[in-house]
Order: sequence, then structure tokens, then C-alpha cells
Amino acid sequence: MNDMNEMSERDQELAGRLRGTLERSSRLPDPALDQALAAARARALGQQRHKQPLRPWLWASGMALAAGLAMFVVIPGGSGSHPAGHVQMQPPIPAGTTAAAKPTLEDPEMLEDMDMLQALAAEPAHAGQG
Amino acid sequence: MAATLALNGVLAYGGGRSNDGISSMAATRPTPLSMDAFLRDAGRRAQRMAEFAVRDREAALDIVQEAMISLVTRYGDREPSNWGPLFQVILQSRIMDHHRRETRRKKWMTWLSAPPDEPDEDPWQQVPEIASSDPVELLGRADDMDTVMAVVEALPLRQQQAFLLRAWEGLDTAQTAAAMGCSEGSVKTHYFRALAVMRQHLLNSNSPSGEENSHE
Repeated sequence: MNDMNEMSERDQELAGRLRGTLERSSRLPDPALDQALAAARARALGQQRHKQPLRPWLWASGMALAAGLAMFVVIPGGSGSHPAGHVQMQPPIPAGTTAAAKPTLEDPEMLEDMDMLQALAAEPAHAGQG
Repeated sequence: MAATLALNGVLAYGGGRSNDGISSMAATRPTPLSMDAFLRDAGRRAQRMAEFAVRDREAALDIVQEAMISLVTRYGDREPSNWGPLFQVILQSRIMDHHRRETRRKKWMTWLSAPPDEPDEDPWQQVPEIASSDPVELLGRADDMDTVMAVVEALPLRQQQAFLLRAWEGLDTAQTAAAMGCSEGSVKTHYFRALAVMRQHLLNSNSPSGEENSHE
């Protein structure tokens, strides 16, 4: 530790001189290097200029998208005339598209068909007895 | 005279913090007014530092450009007084990345050849005792640009980084440690050794513009 302190005192001036020499060397005219560094600087600062206008755009479009989604979720029908807690009824499904495919017991045609089948089944038995 | 004027820049990103015996010598740099002014001021030094480290001007320019872009895009909104240390963190990281890439590439290229020399061999062990040290002569040699360039370039990478960041860039020990990714103790050791090696090389150089080829 003593060595280091001794060294630091002894080398203080040397380091200062070396720093001055390095500083001078970095200030020597070098047009090619200056040009290259200016181009690098311009490119870096160009990134900064491109970056700044992008932020408000991103924010604005993000907020607009979120607001649009919120509108659809909160107001499903798109009209604000319904009272709170009101569930909007779905429009009736046309009968032609579903009823034909799904016969029920109330279907008169089916009942007629069933009667006819029962009658046909009973006929041979009556004929045999006769 | 020019060197003296350059040394007079005060109020730096170093902040004048003195946490070791050698901090006071590190002149600080003025706080930049704008990013453009900062890059204009730091660009030449950064390029020189990178060139010392990678020994290839084009690669050094690429490194500096990447560091500039990274600083502007990631830290452009920080306090201007922080730009210097942040820029050095990025720059030194890029330099180390370059070295790692080069080391990997060389390993593949010299797969079957003789084992490479140890790059981080400690020259401290090989520094002979100084037979005679004339302070005036030493400082005279430290003013010679070619000699100083050769001596700095001859330093091992970590010592070179510690010396340039502390003595030239004006960072304090903590900031230098952050930039180099090591402890403050390591920074002090590297810096101490760098100065000792440089002193020795300067004393061994025959003339102010003498060739000093202990680099390889």
C-alpha cells in the first residue's frame, strides 16, 4: 500500500503529461477520420430523431385500439339506449332453417306418418284372422 | 501550452470524487450541453481508445459508431452529466466483445498451429529495476506523441483501459470499475501497473521519437 501511495505521488505528473500528449494527438487534423466520425454521429443522432416521433404515434394508436375494444365489450349492441342490467334479446331464428331439420312431436306430418305405419303394421294381423 | 489548456477543463462527469490517492490527478471533463456536442467532443477520444485496443482503424470506427447509436437510443434521455460514464460502459463492452470474437476466430484459425502467446501475460513481472530515472528526461519523453502512442498501445488491454479511462477520460475509480466490469481494487491495480510499465518503457526508449517495440 505504501508502494502504491509512493507511486501515485511520483507518477502524478507523469500521468498528467501523458494525458496532455494523448489530448494533443486526438486534436491533430485528420479529415478522413473527422468525416467518418461526423457520419457516425449523424447516424446516431438520426436514430434519436426517428425514435422521438414514433413514441406519440405508438401511444395514440394503442390508446385508440384499446378504446375501440372497450366500446365493443361494454356496449355489445353498439347502442346506448338500453337501461343498466338489460339483456338484449336475440332476434328470432327463421323457422325454415332449423325446424325442418329438427322434427318435434308436434309436427303434424310426422304424426300422420306414424299413424300410417301403425295402420300398415296392424293390417296383416286382421287379414290373417279373416 | 495546448496540453496545459486541455488539462484545465474542470467540472466533469467524474464529479471530483476522490476515493484514492491518485484521483486528484485525473482532470475532469465539462458537462456537455447537447448530445451532438458530447459526441463531437468524445468521438475522437473514443476512436483513439478503440484503436489502441483493437489495433484496427475500421473496426474501431464500427465500435465507436455502435456505441454512439446505443447511447443515443438507450440513454439519450438521461442527465447529460451521465453520458460520459455511460458511453464508456458501452464502448468498453463493445471493445471486449470484439476481443472475444477475435479470440474465438483466432482459435479456429490456428487450431493445428503452435499454441498462441498468452495475451494477458503480466508484464509487471518482467519490468526490470530502473537503473537511473531522470525525471526531466522522463517527462520530456512523455511529451513525445509517437513514443506515448507506442507505449500506450503496448500495454495489456486491461491496464490500457484503466489508464485511459482514469487518466485521459477523467473517470473516477468507481466509474472506471463500472466501465471495465471489475472491482475498484482491480482498477487501482491495473492503473498502478500501467503507470509503472509506461514509466519503464519511456525510460528505455532511446530518443523522444525512438522505436519502442515491446508490444508483441
